[in-house]
Amino acid sequence: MSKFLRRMLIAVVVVFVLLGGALAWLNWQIHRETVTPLATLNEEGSAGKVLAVLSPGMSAFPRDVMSAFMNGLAENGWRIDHTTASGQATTAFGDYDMIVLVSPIYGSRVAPPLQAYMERAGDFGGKRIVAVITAGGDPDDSMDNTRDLVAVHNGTLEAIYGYAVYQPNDPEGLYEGSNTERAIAMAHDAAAELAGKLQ
Amino acid sequence: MSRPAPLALRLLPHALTALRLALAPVLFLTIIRGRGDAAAACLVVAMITDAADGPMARRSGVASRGGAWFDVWTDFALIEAAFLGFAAGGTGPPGLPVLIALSFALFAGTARMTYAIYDPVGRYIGGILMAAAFAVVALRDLYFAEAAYLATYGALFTTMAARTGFAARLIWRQVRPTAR
Repeated sequence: MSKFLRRMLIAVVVVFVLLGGALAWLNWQIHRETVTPLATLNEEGSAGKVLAVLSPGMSAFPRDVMSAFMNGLAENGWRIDHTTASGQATTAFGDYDMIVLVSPIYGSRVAPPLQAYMERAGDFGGKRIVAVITAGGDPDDSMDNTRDLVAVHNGTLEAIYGYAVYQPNDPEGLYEGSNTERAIAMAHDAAAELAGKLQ
Repeated sequence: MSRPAPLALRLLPHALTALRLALAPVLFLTIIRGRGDAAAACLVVAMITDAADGPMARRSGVASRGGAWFDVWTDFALIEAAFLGFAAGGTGPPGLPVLIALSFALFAGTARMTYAIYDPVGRYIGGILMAAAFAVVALRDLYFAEAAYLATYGALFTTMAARTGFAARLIWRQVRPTAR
């Protein structure tokens, strides 16, 4: 084999190994569960008790949306226990009036850690579920899959909210700031409105 | 003796580069406002002008070192605007704009030393990063966005490693002239 061909072969092998390694790392990151102890927001809240479960994904956006959503509920008198989707997250739903599931969307489906959490939970026993999803493009494309997922696990979908990164969330211009800042403000107001509706 | 190209033709390559530079703030704004479609359109125009301005300048006989640097720094401004937009939107890695700035500074520093650097991606780095930004805003899927950020990291680390290695070897040779 000539020196040139040997070098080309080595270059091709190196590129394939690097690409394979990068994709494997990305897949591992997306499937990786984040363990967070159960924390409580607005401990004195008496309007209702919520369990909020977040699959954080790889950016700050889902976490920011969840914080805003929880604040919207807390400001309206709800007590929120919150954690991240993992093998250690509680699946004892008996005490809760509502479960809020927050996740980014990868390929039209909620993040694998939240899917795994729902598998472990098995049956939501008809509990009221609110899904909050963050997507790259139009979140409507992923909403049907999320609705089906909640239905399969015997949850009663109370509401589903979708926020996009690269598609305007607020075409009417009711909010200010960047597209993601608007989404965060909208999540807060959506939770406040939901809390008012449920009281 | 060949006649010089008409003035309009001689200015066209610079006009294309200037158009790309003007697109940088537009691109930033479209990204943070969530207009993925408009951002993708900006990047398509940028990639076309990037591919066209160099050959056009050579054909019309106006290629110059200054023009080449204008092209490089315009690419930098555009790419930096895109990745700053991703980071400012809270979805892109905040470290990427910093790494892009470092990488271009290293490119500018080492390109002045010599062109004879073995840098497998350096020549294409502008195109690679523009394509990665395009993938983020055109495909609009968070999985592909993460893959594009990862590819960007890979390309930047490769070019930085090649150029840092070269600079280190050059400095070493100057400190120890007998070293080979």
